[in-house]
Amino acid sequence: MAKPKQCDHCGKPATIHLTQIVGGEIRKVDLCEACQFKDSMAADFDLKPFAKLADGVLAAHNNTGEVHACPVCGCDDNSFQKSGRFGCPDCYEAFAGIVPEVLRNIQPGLRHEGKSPEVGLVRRHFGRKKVELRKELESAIREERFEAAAVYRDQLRKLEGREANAIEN
Amino acid sequence: MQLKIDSLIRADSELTHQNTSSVPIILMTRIRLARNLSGHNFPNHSEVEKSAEVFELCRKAIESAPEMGSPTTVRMEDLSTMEKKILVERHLVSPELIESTAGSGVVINGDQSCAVMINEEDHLRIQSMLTGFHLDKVWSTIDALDDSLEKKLDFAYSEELGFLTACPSNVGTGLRASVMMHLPGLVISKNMEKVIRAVNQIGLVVRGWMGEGSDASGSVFQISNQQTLGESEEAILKRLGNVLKTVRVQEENARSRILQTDQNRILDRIGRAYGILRNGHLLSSGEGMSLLSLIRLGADFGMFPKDTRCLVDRLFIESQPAHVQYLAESEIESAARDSLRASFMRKNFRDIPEPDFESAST
Repeated sequence: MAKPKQCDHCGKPATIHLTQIVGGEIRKVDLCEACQFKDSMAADFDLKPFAKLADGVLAAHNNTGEVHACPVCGCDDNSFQKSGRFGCPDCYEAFAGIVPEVLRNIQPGLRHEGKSPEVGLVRRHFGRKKVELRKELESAIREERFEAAAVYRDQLRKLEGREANAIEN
Repeated sequence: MQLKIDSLIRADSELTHQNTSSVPIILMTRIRLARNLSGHNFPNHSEVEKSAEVFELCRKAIESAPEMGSPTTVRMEDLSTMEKKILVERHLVSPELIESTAGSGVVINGDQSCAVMINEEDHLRIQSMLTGFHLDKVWSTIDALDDSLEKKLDFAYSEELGFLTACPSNVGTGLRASVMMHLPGLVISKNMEKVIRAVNQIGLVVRGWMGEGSDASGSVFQISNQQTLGESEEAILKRLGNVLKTVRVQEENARSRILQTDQNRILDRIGRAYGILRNGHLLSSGEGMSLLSLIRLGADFGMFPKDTRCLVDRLFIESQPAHVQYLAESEIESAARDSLRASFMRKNFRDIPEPDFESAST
């Protein structure tokens, strides 16, 4: 595997690679995140999205003083700041306090306007109802209310049928 | 030497064998969607066994999607460095994917117009591409493929933020559309920098031909959207499409100006490019790209037979370093590569007639 490129300024592994064409001349630089603002060419370039992402994280963090850690994957402020990446889908919930601030710096809007996963939403809708019904069913069995349990079991089956139908269509 | 990806290299593919759809200025249109499975850590935060589990879940769903006719699946861990690089050069996987190994791979359809990467930065990077300028067509293909996958896989999605991705810069639609453009007119007339600056100002990015960090040899550039949240897929594609049409007009104008004001200089360059490709004995990949770029320009000017353009598009890919190593059937040094590349070009240009300088026009 090729050795990772080194930063032209400090020799650390470079994560930013820029190419610029001025008057037909091609110029290339490789930079680490710390040196991205030192370079004259980088100053010319649109590094804003990256810089803005890092800034956004820091600013958001400083503003709220909150500490975040995802209960599902363990990703915390430190690891998010370092990598700019979350650890799992639930992080968006765990970091809800700073997510808008982070997004404001890099995205034109804060609300999703695109397509939605139709089948996923159906699954989610029925999933919630199924969980409720199962709970009812279990407690009915536990309390030996067998007639009620039979009703719940029927409802659960019907619900599963309707879900399969909805996904099919 | 028998390679796992032999069949991919030998097959007629969308980007290398599209005689009819190869057009001036625009090489290809590509869209990718970033998707993740709910209830699983993102690849960068995942343990090896979990990544393998995600790989299997995804692989089964992708292979059975109707849009993925005659799929080929490869795991990165099973490939040599050369094979991985060949996949990058064919635009089937990203340079990032070949750096990661744990449970990462790609499923590629029969004509290599769709490729779904597994366990790159996100669990899934769904990609679809076509030769020429076809944002709408590529979108409808990838939209359908996304729907098919969604039936089998539970995607991480929030009503407010859309599809959830490892990096917040992809959240929402997870969509990046990029169009690869051949812009020698703007480069020669020294206007490319202005174009890059203007395009950047409206939230679009310009990159070199191999994506992030690659250089702009051959005057080939990728222009793509950067933002993914707060706009629908259609709005993103429309905005990008409008900008690309403007860039295309600028390129056409630059070409006419060059032909009017500096005809001998440009015809000289095209003529020399032809001479070197037909007779050269040492050719670096950068020089190869530049010369091929001039031949493509000549074909657009009507100086070469029409199907020369498709030949150039194929050679753009097949003259890259890993493809040349494949020709050599072993990993060879760069000097040996240059000699082999030159002989490969001589062979391919043997039957291309001399440039018809009389008919040069835009």
